[in-house]
Amino acid sequence: MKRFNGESEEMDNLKASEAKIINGQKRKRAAMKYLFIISIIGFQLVNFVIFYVVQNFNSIIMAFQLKKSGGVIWTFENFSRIYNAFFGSGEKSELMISLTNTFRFFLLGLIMFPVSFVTSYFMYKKVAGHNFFRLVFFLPSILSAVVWTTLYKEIVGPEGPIVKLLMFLRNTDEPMLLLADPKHAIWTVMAYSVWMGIAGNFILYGGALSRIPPEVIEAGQLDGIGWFKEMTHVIVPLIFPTIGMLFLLQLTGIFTASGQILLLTNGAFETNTILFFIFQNVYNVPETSNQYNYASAVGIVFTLLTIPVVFLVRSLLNRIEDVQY
Amino acid sequence: MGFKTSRRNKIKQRGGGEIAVFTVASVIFFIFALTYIVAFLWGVIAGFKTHSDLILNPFSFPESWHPENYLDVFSLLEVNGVNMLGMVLNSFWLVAGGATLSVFGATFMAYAVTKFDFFGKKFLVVVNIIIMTLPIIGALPSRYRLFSAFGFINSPTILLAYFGGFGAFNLYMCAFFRGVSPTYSEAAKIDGANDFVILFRIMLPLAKGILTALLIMEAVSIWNDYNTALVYMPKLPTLATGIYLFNTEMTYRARMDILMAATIISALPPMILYGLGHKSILKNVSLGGIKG
Repeated sequence: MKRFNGESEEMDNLKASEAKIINGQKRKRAAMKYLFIISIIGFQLVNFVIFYVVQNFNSIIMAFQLKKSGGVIWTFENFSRIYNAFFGSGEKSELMISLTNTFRFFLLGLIMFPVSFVTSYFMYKKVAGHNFFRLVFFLPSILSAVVWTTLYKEIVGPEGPIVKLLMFLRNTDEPMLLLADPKHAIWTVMAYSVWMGIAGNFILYGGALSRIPPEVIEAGQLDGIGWFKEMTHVIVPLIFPTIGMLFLLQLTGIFTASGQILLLTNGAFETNTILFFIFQNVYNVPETSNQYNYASAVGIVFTLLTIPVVFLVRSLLNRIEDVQY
Repeated sequence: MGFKTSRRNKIKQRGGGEIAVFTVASVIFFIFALTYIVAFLWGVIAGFKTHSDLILNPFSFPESWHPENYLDVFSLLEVNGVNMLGMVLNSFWLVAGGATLSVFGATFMAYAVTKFDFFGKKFLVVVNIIIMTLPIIGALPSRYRLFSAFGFINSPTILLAYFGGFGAFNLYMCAFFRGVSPTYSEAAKIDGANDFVILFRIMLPLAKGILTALLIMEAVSIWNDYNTALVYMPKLPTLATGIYLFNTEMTYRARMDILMAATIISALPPMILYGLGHKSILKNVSLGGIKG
């Protein structure tokens, strides 16, 4: 812009005041923005601070405390109790049984992980009857475990068809107690997980698979690749973000892997797991009890053991490039 | 045209091995599907029996049919002084309040994080990844004491704990809002709309599909959740919790028939909700990766 002498000073003053107004508006707008953001996420932040940060911090503190003769003392006793449960001599401790079972459930989860993916793949490929399966396979995830376990308990009960079949196969008249015998109980609970788990992540996979452009699949078919190659070389890379995420969640759940213990056996007959062990120390136990502190210590030990696994898997997953489509 | 048909023909060809694999898969699926259906139907029939008939001949057809069981449950299923109507009422407010708060809490958080630049935004994204992937095992004792300190035990104020902003819903909604073009909000701003108007009048209506899907999923999961009420609100049992407690207390008031009828009734609302919403769920919900 051209300036004329004499007018310039006046112009500058004008501009400065304009700038002030604009600055003021900017500041006002920024303030409005923060006001808006705080009003829509403020409560959630408070919630996070209390029920995540404070809660977990408190959990750590509780693990190092015990109530003794009226006062609260700082101690490692909870941890030495855990050490004794694993390495002490004598009978197999409840905690040791819990850990063994937790690993069993974790391994079962690892086996069921590809199974539920393959199931979703076949549904996506419109296997004969897929419309019917699509509807029925919703049932395990939409009906409460309370419903399924109530039915399952009767089906595997002493009068149920499974026991009758096993008695016939073993040629014996003695009914087996599938859920009330330490020899069988844990396997019966795991069988329940398989029964319910075949279509495990079917909803999430279904969503991811439906987004694959059909041209990509057609291109593969034109090249004459078979179903297995199509699944492993086309589908898996295309929906890898979903698979990777679910796999990460599966791995991070090592020590929380658990069947429907509460509903099926209530932890009896050597079916306990770490997660249920902790639950048992809280449920129906007065909140001032020292068991709360012991359970917190158990939680911390296993959380610490999980962290390296989480970081390792995360860094591995981060290295794999996502396919853009 | 000629090219197109030849292409189709090529695609349709499936080898003999492939047909075999697909048939086997179909048969296995059919067996599983059948077990779900038969188990459920057995439960329905069991609900029509008398208690002694059910105990003596669990897998036969009823000696006599008792449809009144399905009405009697409403008075006979009673736990901690709460009958089935009370349980349904408890389930109802927990589902309605909990699902709304948790879905919209996450939606607002996702909206702020994807559409605005502000101090601490990156931190919030990292927090979500940590919360989702780092399992904190056994914070239950500490959580119980906190809930107790805030007076959440046996009180509807427990709903406040559902109003969080993180987790899978946050991810779903972030993915959704990232896909919404900024032209919508820019146009609205030129017309003089403020941030609240843009969020409530433009963004949320745009997200109607995915919000409906998430609300249904969360409603079903809260309806089915027997654990929360068991631990934190034993005096306000929900239907799922009530059925569990009734089952464990059966030793002194054995009514298997009532238990079965109640179990089947409790399964109906999720079936209806999913029947209405399953298309919307498959269409709208997908879990992408989270990196960082």
